[in-house]
Amino acid sequence: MAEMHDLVAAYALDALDPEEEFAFEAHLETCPSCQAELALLRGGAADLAGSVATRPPAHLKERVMAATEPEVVPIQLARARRPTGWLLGVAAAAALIVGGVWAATSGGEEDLVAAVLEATDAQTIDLETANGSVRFVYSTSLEAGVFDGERLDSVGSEELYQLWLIGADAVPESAGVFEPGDREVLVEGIETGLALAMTVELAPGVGAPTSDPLFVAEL
Amino acid sequence: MATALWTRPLRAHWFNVEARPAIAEFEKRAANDTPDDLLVRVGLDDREAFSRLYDIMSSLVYGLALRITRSRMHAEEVTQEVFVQVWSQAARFDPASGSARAWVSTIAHRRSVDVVRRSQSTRNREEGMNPEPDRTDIAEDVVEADERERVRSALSELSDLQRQAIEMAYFGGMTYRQVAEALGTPLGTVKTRMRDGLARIREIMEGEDG
Ligand SMILES: [Zn+2]
Repeated sequence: MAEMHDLVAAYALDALDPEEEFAFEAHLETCPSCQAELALLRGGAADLAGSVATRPPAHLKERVMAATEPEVVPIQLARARRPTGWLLGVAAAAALIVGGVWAATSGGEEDLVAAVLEATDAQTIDLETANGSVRFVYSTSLEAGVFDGERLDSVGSEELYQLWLIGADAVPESAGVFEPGDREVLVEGIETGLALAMTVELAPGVGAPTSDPLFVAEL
Repeated sequence: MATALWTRPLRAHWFNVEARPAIAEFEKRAANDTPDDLLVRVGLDDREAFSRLYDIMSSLVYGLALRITRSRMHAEEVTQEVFVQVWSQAARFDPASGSARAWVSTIAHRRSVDVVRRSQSTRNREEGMNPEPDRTDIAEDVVEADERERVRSALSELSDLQRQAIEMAYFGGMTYRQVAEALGTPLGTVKTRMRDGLARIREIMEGEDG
């Protein structure tokens, strides 16, 4: 295997032919000496790269951040129970779900938003927060509410607002995220006895709050 | 009946108390994170760490891609691909087996060389060694300029054969067999010079880093 050991520098420089590279990688798996050597030589190669360091054009960062933007993963509140009549619309919009909040794009959500706003048991909470006034209209019979964040201040470019539902266990569960200016943010899983809270968090949202709430309102 | 709870002491009562000390510790550390720390956090899907890693490492990636591909367009594409790969594979980074700089520049080099080798059959390679990028591409940035200067000074301590063999392979995208042929030097000698030269550069740079 002495011959294989000799290839480590060429491998660190990506200077092996494809067949040799394949063979060397198989050898590398089982050779601690080559692994240690490779770590050292790759450090040298990185130093070489430093000799031509050149600042990229500024617009490239936006492209990179956009290209790596995490996809919104559907997370559903354990206690959310949706009226079956809206399930089809909900499924179609599944990719847009964060927590219990739907971006208001599909017909199904708009129907639910309208139903909440017109519900006979609809209740309205108006609150002044340090970042501006908010309104939350909810219906316990529909187990849903509509949050209006239109008059909230803007936040940092990588931040957003996040809503939380807090039950008897006092552990906030994400009820979704939204941007300042969003109105008609749908929140599902509403029950009497829960509290709704809001924080500012880093995009795309967090699993547990990292800042003090701008409000906590008992429903 | 809806009630706003303005007067209630909020944090301890409503929020997950256990998470707070960890978050405070995290914020305290964030100010002087090394590239290794940042890359580990990127592996935990930390967007803030990724943004800062880009700020620290993008000159290294872009400069290398520009030197190898000799095309701003390709260099931008490579840089984007490299950081997409960094974002998706950072969890595989193990600080015990190399630095974040080495990890990222390995990806950047591989991608850049692939671009060159893909277009090798159609490109006129008579120019041989890649020229320096245009002066206009070289950022007048103190950090980059300092880094470039330090490595160039280290390179000047290598023998001509060590430096040529390494530069032809690393910047020229040539295999060690092509290098041996171009220099009229036996394969075994080229391999040895590459090894000794790379190790020497690391030794000099590490000595400077303290
Ligand atoms: Zn070996």
